[in-house]
Amino acid sequence: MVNKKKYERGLQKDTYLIVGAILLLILVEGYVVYTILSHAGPAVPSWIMGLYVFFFLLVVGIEIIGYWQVRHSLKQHMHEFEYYE
Amino acid sequence: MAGGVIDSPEISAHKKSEPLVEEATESPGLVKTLRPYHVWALGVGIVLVGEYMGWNFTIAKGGVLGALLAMLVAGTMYVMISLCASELGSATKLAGGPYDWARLFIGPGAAGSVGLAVYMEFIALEAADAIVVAFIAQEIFPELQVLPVTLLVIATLTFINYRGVVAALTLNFFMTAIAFIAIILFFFSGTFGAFELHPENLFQGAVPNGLIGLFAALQFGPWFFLGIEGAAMCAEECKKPSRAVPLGQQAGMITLLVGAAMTLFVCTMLLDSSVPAEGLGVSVYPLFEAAQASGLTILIALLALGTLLTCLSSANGCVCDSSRSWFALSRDHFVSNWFSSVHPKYQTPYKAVIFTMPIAIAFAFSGYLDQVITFSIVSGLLCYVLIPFSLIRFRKMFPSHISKVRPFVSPLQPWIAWFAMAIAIVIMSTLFWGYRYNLLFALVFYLIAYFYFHNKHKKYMKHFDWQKEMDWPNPSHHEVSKE
Repeated sequence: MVNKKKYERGLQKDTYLIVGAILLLILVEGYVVYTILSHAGPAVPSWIMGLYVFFFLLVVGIEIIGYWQVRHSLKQHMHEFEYYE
Repeated sequence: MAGGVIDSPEISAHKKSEPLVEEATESPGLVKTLRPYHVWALGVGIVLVGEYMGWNFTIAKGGVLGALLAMLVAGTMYVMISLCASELGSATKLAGGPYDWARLFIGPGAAGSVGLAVYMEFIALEAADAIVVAFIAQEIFPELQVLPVTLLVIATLTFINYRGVVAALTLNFFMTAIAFIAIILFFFSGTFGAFELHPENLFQGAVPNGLIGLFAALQFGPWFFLGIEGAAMCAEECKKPSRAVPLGQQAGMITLLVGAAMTLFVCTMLLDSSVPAEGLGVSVYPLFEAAQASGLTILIALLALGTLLTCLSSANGCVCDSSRSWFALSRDHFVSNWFSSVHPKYQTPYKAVIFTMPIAIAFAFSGYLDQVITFSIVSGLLCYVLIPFSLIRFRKMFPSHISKVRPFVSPLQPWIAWFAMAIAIVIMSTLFWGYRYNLLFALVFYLIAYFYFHNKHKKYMKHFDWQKEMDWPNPSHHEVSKE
């Protein structure tokens, strides 16, 4: 007999962790990259700034998609693999 | 070669009885009790030391902007690698990590080389960590000598790992958590005005070596994240690997990204980096020195403690990962089968654990710490080419996403795997600035290892029964496994 509430609580806890980590990543990474580029950026040609923006979007974007995919995977398999027993 | 796999009686006996529903059983193999926070502790524990020291060589090469570019480029590569590792680790659930993935999806030459590379990467790092702990101890207690303290550190951590993986990684969790909290407190103290920041440092030290320095700095970018792929190596010892590995490893990856950004921010704001040969670029303990520059005693104490704990947790995690790689190599006859024993009481690969000690000591007393670390980085970079390649092969051999084979499906594949390989090769090529002989030596070493293992294991290569060994259906193009 599967305890549905237990599984919902378990998934909810994991979701809080995932959302919290993603928010922290966006806030800290965004703040640091923006602050450094706004002070040090004028020292390099503008086309190089594009490189920073490109890799910033890649690193944050892929990690967000990846971690959200982890949540999707947990939700999909939690009963099959009895994650919260 | 593609798809060639090695069969051995030991590994068959271990795997064939594994049920679809992962249970917390205590089989004659490794104990299966680890949880997501242990995976986090293993991955972050190994890597966080690179944010306390070492990353600042990016400043010496490329200034503040070089360090930022290195952090973002290496971060992108590691995010992709860690997603590949999460998918492969939760699918295979084997202790060898990159070695087992290469064994199953590439072939014995690549498997042997990558297994050896993982072993060398972590054992060299363990030796370096133990030396740094000894130096810190000597600074606190000048009457101590470096040699005996290094030996004591290596012996103690080996003993902890011999006694059990849960105790070792729970200890790692607390040490790593304290070290990470120290970074968080330091960062928020600065941003909320507890001490004065110096934004003018950012422009003055932006690009001291010109544009070429920006790209030369890439070679030290891996310091921020080196070893996070090792988090997936405890999959075989996890209670629920398909939950613990992706959840713990991606939490670890975000921890490192956040920690790297915070470290870069406070250190560049507090320490001068305008002259590459002075200040932040050559600091031995940059976070600790930045705390000293803040003038707050509580932060100085916290960051000093963090520096010590992060070295210990890194060395501890390295013993765990290097021993698992050696154990997996031994289980499949790549090295002597004698090392594949599991302790009847503690359920650890105790012979492989003990064997890390003489090798780490040999590295530690070679007298070439920087060479040892560079060898560790090159070994890691080799893994970063072969891990995504293993995933590409895995996706090709098993294209359907059935939960039995692929419980975690990493996104944007195979494009991010190809991109990660390209970045790894670019970073490896930047080692020509200053480390060309180390790079050539390492590449020749692993090339020889490749042919040695490939030839040695021809006799073990045979038709692989995926159903029996992995409880998986046959690959989509089954004929490749018969090569």
